[in-house]
Amino acid sequence: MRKRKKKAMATEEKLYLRFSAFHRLSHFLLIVSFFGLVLTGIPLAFQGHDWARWLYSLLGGYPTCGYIHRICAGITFLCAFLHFAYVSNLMLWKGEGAKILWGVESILLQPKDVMDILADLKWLLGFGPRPAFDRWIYWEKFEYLSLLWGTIVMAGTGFLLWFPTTFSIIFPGWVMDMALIAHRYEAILAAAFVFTIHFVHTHLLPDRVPVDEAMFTGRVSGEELQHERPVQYKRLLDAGVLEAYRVPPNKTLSFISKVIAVPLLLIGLLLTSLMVSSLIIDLI
Amino acid sequence: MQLKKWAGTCRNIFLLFLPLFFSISIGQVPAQEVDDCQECHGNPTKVGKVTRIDRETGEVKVVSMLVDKDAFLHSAHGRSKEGFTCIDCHQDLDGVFGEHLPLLNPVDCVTFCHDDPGASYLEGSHHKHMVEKEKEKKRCPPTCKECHIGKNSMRETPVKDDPFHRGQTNQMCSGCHEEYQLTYCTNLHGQLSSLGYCNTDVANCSDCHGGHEILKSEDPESQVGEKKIVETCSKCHKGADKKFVRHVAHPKFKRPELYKDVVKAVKDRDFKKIATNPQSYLMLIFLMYVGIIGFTFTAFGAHSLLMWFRIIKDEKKEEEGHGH
Repeated sequence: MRKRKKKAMATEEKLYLRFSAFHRLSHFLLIVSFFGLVLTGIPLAFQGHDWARWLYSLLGGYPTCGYIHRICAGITFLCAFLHFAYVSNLMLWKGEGAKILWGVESILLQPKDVMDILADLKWLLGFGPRPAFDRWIYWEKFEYLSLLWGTIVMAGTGFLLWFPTTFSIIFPGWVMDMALIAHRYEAILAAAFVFTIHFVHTHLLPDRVPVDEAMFTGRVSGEELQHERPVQYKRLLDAGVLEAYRVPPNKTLSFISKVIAVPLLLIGLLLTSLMVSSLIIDLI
Repeated sequence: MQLKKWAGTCRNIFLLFLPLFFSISIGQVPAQEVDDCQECHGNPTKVGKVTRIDRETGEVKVVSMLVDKDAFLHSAHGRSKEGFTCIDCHQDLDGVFGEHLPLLNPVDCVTFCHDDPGASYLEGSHHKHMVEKEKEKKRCPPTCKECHIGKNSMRETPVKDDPFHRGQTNQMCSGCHEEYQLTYCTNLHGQLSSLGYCNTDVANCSDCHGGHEILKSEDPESQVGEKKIVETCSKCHKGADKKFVRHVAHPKFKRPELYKDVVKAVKDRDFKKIATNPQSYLMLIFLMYVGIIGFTFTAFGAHSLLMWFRIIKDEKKEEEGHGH
């Protein structure tokens, strides 16, 4: 399918806007804050290993890493705030609440997703064709929901750990210890999930490697859209609105996205391999 | 052979009386300076290595008799304005010139100089406990030297605020209390100090448990006991109260002992014991996350891998289709 890409390039590929500037900005802020949080936080969870010491001192050690961690947490809060402001704007003022909560455009789980999962399993095991997905594939929905859940858990436990004496007015001290455990393992879960599952699903599949630029340039080619989300493509085409999404190519943005994304992918994969090998060493 | 033995004994007797001879012959003893000792102990050709038997383990060690003057001058004793010399501590050499007998008496730190921390150390239950252990021939109580020892502790005093020494303290304690060090490292204090950050704002063992007078944690008078724990925590955490101090400083959720305890309590139908122990809740949340992580990576990992292969297979099929 790399060939498909090349072929499309040759015949003046048609590009459609998949993500608006707002979504791209949110995703970019999320990348910055996530990497900042993970790089300054994960060494604490793997304190017994030399790479963790090295990484922690590389980023400034204690207490600098703590400050970076809190600043990045602030950026995450900003992201979450922007997201909820955006959603409430759509729901309350633009009257698109029904569209967000239900139907093909919704990112929440729908009855169709159950059928999609079954069709996907059939395809993966070789018993059927590639399922026809709509705008949001079910695993993208899972990722979105786990991001929501993860942010809530990390923010809640993070605040408990940030102001332990303040919160001990309400909770006994061991709640802070529970928060630490939840914070640590939710972080390991989130980091490992993003650096393996999310990276593979969006960037490292054989037909996309190394980077899927859609989230950085916002653009997706007609071929890709048709191949990956045929239901959405057909729906837009039938409604006659597909051309409204057409955008000119942006080579600079595409280049920048590659320059930024490839090193981040490598850092993420390296960190995951370090975490996994440390876990194995600890278990042995 | 016999002659040689006699010669040795004679020499030893001679050496034993040598100082007496000197003190008579010279009349008065001049102060022995560090340099006097350094004449031999700073010269590798004059003093070599001797074998020592460790009181503790019975291990035979080879110890160099060379003394690094520079290190001594940088140590607390060397830097002191009182100008301590070697014989101030090695008092059995007072007035001994030239070659002296091997195996000096152990240095007595407490009697004349360090009676202040010394007394509280000797009264603490840590020492008492160790004395009991000694009776069982398990372990001798540690002397001053066992903690305040080595090349590292010679430099850069004061010990209490120096990050390096604070890290060393943790290592000293974990020499015996290994399981507590492991559980300490699962906590935030331990995570940071294990990464090599042992400043005064990261609590080490002695910040909570005390230095010289270490009482058992169950003792209400101990630093982490009922009466004093709020005070101990609020040294760093301003506004620490009775609720705050219920913090679990040594979470055991990664230790098999906790699981054994829980299984035993379940067998005894002692659910109250499980419910009142915060460690159970930490264990619960840990196990929950192990489950979530295990499930997520099994399901999604399998999905990613299968998808990878399926796309390659589809690609091949498509190519074959085009070929026809």
